[in-house]
Amino acid sequence: MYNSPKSNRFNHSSLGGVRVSSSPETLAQSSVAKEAPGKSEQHSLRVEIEKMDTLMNLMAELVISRSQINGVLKKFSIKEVDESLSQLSRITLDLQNIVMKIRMVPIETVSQKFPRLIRDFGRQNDKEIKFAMKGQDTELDRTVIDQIGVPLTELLKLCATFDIESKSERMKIGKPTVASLFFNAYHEGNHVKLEIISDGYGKPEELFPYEETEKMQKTIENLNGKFILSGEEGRMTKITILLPLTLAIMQSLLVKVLNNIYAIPIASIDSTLSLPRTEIQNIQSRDVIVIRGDIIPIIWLSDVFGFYSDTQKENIQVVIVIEGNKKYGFVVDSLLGQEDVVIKSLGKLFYDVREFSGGAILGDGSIAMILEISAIVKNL
Amino acid sequence: MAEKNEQAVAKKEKIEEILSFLIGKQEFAFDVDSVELVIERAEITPVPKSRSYLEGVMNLRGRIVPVVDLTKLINIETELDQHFENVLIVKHEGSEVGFFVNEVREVINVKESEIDTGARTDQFDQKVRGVVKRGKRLILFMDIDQIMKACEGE
Repeated sequence: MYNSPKSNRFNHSSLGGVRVSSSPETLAQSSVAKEAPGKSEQHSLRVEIEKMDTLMNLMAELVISRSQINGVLKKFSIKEVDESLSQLSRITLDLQNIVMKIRMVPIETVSQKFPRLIRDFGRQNDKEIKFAMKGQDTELDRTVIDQIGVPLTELLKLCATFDIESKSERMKIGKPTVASLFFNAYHEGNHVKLEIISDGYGKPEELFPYEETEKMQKTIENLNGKFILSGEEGRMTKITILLPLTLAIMQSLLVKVLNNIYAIPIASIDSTLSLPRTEIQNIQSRDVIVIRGDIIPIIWLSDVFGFYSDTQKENIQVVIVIEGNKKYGFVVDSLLGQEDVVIKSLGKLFYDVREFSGGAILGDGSIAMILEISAIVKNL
Repeated sequence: MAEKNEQAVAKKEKIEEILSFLIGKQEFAFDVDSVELVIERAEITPVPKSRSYLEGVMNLRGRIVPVVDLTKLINIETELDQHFENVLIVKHEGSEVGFFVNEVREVINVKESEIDTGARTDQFDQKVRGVVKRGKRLILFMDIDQIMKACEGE
């Protein structure tokens, strides 16, 4: 077996000299395996969760404090200070990322008990359920993991109870007697998706009048997550839980509407522009603007929020956002600039408010509501 | 012997510690254990599209806390431009909620027998545990569990 000196050196440095492999393929595989979460326990460290929470809170305070300093010093534009500030920003960003990473735990920690649970449940209820899971190494923030266990278990039980037919019933309607139930987890953009799929009645909405689901919905909403239900009658039920990847810090554009400040997630923003009011056209009683041939619907945020605004400024400020491959123009009063904000839940009292995904505490201690783009464009 | 028994009965009777506060001219009280602190009214950020008794949210030492206007929650008539100077922060099952109040008065020890539960009015239904009389003062002792449920829109 031949190893070039070069590949050997590479082996040693990347795998700590533990193993020497002969081909690039196995090298790639083994290094992936080594990085896979939960697999390597050799160089890990046990840390109390309280300490991690403290670290996270300090991190959040550091971000706020940095914004504060930034806000004050921006006025003076001193070259040396600006340089140090941008370096400080870079360091805080790196620090944020590493803190977030440390807090990530695979979904496996809650899902490993599911197969047994479903099997036992089926046996007791004249049902035979084939249960399979995918993507259980998908990582989520520890706080989410801690809170998601109970609702997920409830949801699976609900599915097994009300969505999956009994063996005899399935036989009657010509379905295979063994029912299938899947639990999948995967990343998508800034979110983690958790899917429960079964081949039962196909009416997921009907699972949601139950009392158990109410508490569960609140838990998910408190985590800034949401449910997506879909189904095919008699064939397939699909419940998707969409959770934000990071709980804490988000890049946002701060805007002003009347006297209040709102945060728009940078990830959803296409561009911003200022244009004369006269460029707004009206098509089928909807306000639109045309940019490079694209017809973009206009949403006046002051209207959405129910504010009375009689501003007749010549130019309007528009933030073009992208939601589900479509563009929308949000009209705001002014743009205040980009800022990393710490996302906080608004709490259960605001469970019925869909337009905001949370609140952010700004450098001066005031609160900015964070826009939930998908809910706002739905009103259109 | 009889005296001793009476003493024992008296000792057994539960004493409630309540914190009384004014909203307009009406005096209310919460169980003192549920009250975390009283603060001067700070900036309150409105949350558009929320229910009318939710005044918005405030920043309480880095935490986002909802603020409730009790007069709107339980339909108390007040002067039109009622201005509240203070916020009473209640901690209930781990979550904090602020309530607008005009003035916080005092902590009162009341025996269970002193809470008149017969005087509940339809208007406040389950939200009032009873009325406490102190001289000429009539204090509405609120049931914090029910108030919190009402806040949650239940």
